[in-house]
Amino acid sequence: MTKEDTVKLISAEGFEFVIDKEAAMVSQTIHNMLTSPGSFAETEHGEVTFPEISTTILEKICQYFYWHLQFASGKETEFTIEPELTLELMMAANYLHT
Amino acid sequence: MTVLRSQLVLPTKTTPRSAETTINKIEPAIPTLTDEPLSLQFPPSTSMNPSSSSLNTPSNSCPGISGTIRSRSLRRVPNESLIVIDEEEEEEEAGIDIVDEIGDPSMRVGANEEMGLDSIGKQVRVLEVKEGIEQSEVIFIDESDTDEGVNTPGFREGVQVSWVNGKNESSGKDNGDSRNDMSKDDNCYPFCLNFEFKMENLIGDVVGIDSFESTLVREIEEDKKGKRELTGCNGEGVVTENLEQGSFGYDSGTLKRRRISREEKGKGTLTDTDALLSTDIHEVKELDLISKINYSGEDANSHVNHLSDDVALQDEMQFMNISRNTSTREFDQVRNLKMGRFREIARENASRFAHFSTEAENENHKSPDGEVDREIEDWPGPFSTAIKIIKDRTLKSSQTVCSSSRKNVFTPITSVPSLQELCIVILAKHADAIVSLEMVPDALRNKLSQLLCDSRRMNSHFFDLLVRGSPTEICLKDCSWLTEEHFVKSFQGCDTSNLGVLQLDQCGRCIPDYVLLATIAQSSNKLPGLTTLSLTGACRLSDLGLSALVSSAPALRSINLSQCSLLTSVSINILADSLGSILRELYLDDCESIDAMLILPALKKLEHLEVLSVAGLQTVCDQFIREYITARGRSIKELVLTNCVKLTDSSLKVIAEQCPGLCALNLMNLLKLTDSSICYLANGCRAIHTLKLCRNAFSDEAIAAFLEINGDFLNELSLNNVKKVSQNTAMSLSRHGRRLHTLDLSWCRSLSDHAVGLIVDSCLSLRVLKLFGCTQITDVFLNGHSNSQMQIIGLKMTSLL
Repeated sequence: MTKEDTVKLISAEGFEFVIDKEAAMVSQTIHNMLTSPGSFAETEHGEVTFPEISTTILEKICQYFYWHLQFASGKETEFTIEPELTLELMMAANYLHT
Repeated sequence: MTVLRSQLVLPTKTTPRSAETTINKIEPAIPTLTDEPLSLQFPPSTSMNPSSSSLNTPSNSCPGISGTIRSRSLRRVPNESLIVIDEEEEEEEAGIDIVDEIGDPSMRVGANEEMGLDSIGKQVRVLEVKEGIEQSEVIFIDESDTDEGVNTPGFREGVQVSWVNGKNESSGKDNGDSRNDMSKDDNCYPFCLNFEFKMENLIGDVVGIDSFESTLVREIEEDKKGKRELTGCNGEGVVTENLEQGSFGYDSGTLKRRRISREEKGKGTLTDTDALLSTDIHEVKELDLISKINYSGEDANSHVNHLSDDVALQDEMQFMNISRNTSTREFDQVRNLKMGRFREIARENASRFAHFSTEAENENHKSPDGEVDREIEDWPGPFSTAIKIIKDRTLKSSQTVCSSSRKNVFTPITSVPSLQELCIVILAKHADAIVSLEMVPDALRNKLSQLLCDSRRMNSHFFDLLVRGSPTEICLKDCSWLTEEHFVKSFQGCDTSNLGVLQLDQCGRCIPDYVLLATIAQSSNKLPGLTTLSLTGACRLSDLGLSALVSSAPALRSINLSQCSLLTSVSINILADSLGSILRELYLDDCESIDAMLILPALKKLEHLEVLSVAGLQTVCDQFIREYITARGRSIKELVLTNCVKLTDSSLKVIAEQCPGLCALNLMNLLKLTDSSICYLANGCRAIHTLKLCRNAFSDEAIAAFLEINGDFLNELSLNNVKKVSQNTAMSLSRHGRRLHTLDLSWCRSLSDHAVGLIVDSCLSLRVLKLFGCTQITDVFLNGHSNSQMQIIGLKMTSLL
C-alpha cells in the first residue's frame, strides 16, 4: 500500500483509519471530496476528518467499504451489524451517501 | 435484369394500396409525385406513340401501374397497335384512365435504351424502361411521408402481381401455358376469393408484400432468358387470345376486360394492379389473388406457404431495392440464403398477420379507428405528422423489427445493497429497542416508519418516538392499528410548533371529530407551520372537524382528504374561504358525499391550485372539467381523473387547450376516451412527465405517436392494460424514452420478448419495470436484456416489498 492509493479517515476521537482509495470511493461523499476540481486540504493530503462520526462507527464503515468491493466483484457474503450500532451507523451512512 | 424486374414490381404494388383505403388521399399524392418523371418523359413518348399519347390523360393515379401495364403490353405485343389495344383493354379493365401508361412505355423506351435488343429486346427494354420509371416512382413513394406510405405496400403488391402474371405467362412459354394459367386462375377463383382478405392483410403488411415480391424477383432471376421468351409468348398469347376473343380492345374495353380478366389471369393480374389504382377494389383483389395463386401454383420450387412467400418476397424485394445492381448469379446465391430466413420470418409472423386480419382491414377500410385516424390526421399539429410517420414506419420497419434480435447474453448485475438499506432493515427488526429518534433526519425517520407500517410492526412505542419532542415531520402510512386513546396520549406530549408535515393515513379509527378537537385542532394556530396534511380514510371526520382543523392550520398548502366519506361540499367551501390564496394541492379521492358540480364555485376560488385529484368522484363530468379548467387551467400541474368514467374526449380537449403547464396526468379507467384524446394531449400538453393510463382504449399507433412527440420528457409512464400496445409503442419508447425511470407494461400481452428487450435496453434511465400479467415474457427477455440497474416487478412472483 503506497501513499498514493490510500486515504486517511479520521474519526471524532482522532483515530486514523488508513484505507485504499478505491474502498473510500464507495462513499459518494468521500469520492466527491477527493475528486473535486478545487484544491481542498483533503485532496492534497489525502485525509478526511469526520468530527461527527465516532470511532466504532467509522471502523464499521471502513469494514463496509471493503465488503462492498468484495460483493461487487462477485463474492457475496453477509455483512453483520450489531444492533446497537445500527442507528448511528445509519445516520453516518446517510451522511456519507453510502 | 433482375434489378429491372424488381423495379417493375415495385410500382404495381402501390396500386392496390391506393385503391383500397385512402384512394382519395393516395391518388392525388401519387400523381403529384410521379408527375415529374412522367412529365419529363412525355415529349419523347408523344413522339413515339402519337396514338398512345392521345390516350395520355393526366390521370396519373397509377403511373406505376400504367407503366407496368404498358410494359406488359409492350412486352407481349411488339406492335404498337397491339400496345394500344392492351393498354386500352387494361385501362378499361382497370376502369382507370391508363392514359399515362401509353405514354410511359414509349417514354421509357426512349429514356432507357440500354438493352438495345431486337423485338424481344425491345420488350425487355421496355421493361427496363418501365423499371426505371417504376424505380423513380418507387423513389417517390419512399419520399412521400404521407399516407402513401400506407399505400406503398399495395403499390408494391401491384407490381408483384403484374410480375407474377408475367411470370406465369412466361413460364408457359406458349399460348397454351398462358391459357393454362388462366384456367388455373379459373380454378383458383373461389380460392382467390378466400384469399382476398389475406391479400389485403398482406397488402397491409410490408412483410407479406416483400415476400411476394421477392418470390417474383427470384423467379425472374431464374428465367432471365425465359422472360424474353415469355414476353414473346405472352405477347403471342395475348395477341392470340385477344384475337380469339375477337376483340382487340379497340372498341369496347368492357368485352376485352372481361375476357382478359377471365382468360389472362396473369395479365389480368397486371391489369388488376392497374385496377388497383381504380376504385374497383374487389376486382383488384380478386385479380391479385388469382395472380398470386397462379404464381404460387406455378412456382414449384419455393413457395408452399403463401404467407411465407409473401414475407420472403417482401424481404427480397427490399433487398432488391437496395442492391439494384447485383448480378443474377450473385442474386441467386443471396436469394437462396435469404429464402430460409424469409420463410422463418414469415412463419414467425404469419400467425400475427392472421391475428391482425380484422385490425388491418379495419385500418385499411378506415373503420371507427380509421375515422378517428382521419380526424386526427386532419388536425394540424405534430400528432398527425407523428401518426403518419408511425404508419410509414410500420411498413418499412416490420422487417427490421422482426430481424432485430435482442439476444444480448448478459446476466443482470445485482447491485450491492447500501449501508443505509442494511441498517434500516435491522432497525425495523429491532424497532422496539430503539430508545430515541433524536438527531435522526426526517428522511430516515420516514423510511423507517414506512418499513414498519408495511411489515405491520408499527406500534405505539415507535409512534411515541416519532411524536416526541418537537418533530418537523410525522409520516405514518398506516394508522389503522392506532386507537383513539393512544393517539390522544401520544399527542399530548408533542410540541407541534415546528410540525411541517403531518401524515396520518388510514386514520378512520382514531380520528373522529372530538379527538381532532382534543389534539391537533385544540386551538386556533396549534399547527402554525403545517404545510402538508394528509388524513386519508378519516371516515368519521365531518365538516365541523375539518373547519376546526383548517382554522388551526392557517398555512396549509397541501391537503389530502381522500376517502373521507362524510365530507360534503360545505367543507370545500370552508377550505376555499380560508385557504383560497395559498392552497396548492387538493386531493378528494373517493369522497362520496361531495358533488363535483356543487364544489365548482369553491374550486374556482382556489387561485393557485396546482394539483387536483377528483379520482373516483362519479359526479365528475365533462361539464365540470370544462368549467373548472377554463377558469383555473392555467396553473394546474397535476390532474388525477382516475375512475371518473363519465369523461369523454371533449374533456381532454379542454385540458389540452387550457393546461399548458400540465406535468402529470392520470387517466386510469377512463374507458370512453379514444385516440382523439391522445391526439389532443400530444398537441397541447407538451410538458407532461408523468402519464398514467390503465384500461384505456388507445391504439398502438396513437400511443407511439404521443411518445414520438412527448416521450423525451417522460419520467413515468403507465400503460397498464392498454391492450393494443405493441411494436410501434416499443419502437417509439426505445427512441424517446431517455428519461423514463418507471414503466408499467402490465397486461400488455401484444409485446414480445424482443419488444420489451428493445425498450429496456434503450431506456437507460429505467429503474422500475412492472410486468404483471405479461405471461408472454419468457427467459429470453429476462436473461437477454442488458439493463443492470433495473428492477422488474410482477414476473415470477418476485417480492414487492
